Amino acid sequence: MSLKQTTIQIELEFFAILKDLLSPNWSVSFDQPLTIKDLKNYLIRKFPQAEDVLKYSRFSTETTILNDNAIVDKNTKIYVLPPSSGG
Amino acid sequence: METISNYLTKEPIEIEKLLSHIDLKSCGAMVIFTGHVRDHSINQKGEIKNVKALEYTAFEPLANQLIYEILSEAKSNFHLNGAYCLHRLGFLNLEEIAVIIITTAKHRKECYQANQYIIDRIKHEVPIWKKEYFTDGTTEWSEGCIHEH
Repeated sequence: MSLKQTTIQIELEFFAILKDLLSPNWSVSFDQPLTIKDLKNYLIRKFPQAEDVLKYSRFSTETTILNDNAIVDKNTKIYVLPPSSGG
Repeated sequence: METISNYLTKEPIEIEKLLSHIDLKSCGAMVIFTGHVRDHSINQKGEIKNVKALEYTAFEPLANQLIYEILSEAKSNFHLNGAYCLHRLGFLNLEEIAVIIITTAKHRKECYQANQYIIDRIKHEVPIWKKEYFTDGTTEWSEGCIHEH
């Protein structure tokens, strides 16, 4: 019996300075579930020019901030939010 | 079920228009905070730069959700009669209102405390970003609040 390997497709949307440094959107695939912390570390390795912002950025769905231990185990869209400067 | 309002606007904020919707019958106090675009900014290097305009952007669904939660918690924690917020998005010129926070209560103490609580949390938590346009032609994203994880 062969095990079916599941690919997890993550669509990322970047905001503010990250949108300028990188691009508005980015797609990435992983062959196993990962945590938000894993995703952040991956992005920092992938985009070293944005490390200083990424390390302090939050990750979210449309309505919920995701903590570092949150697990991504299915196709999903995640929003990458640089430190806030409103108000 | 209470619906989440839209706390963001691309239109200039009109204080009188907002006040006309607030019921003050059982309130002894109201505190209004307005944040404005000022003509200077200090960057990360400590340099003072002359500001011409600001641009605010937001991740709107989450921003509205978080502002709703902050206002709800403020109303509960400080026993307010009402808590209101409107944040401007888009391009703003000098002196324009970027954000307004209105708190109403039986007494002034909770009004003042809650108002500061709300603006501090909005600045720190809500996904809204400010880009500064300087008179020398350069632009810079404001550094923002670092989140502890």
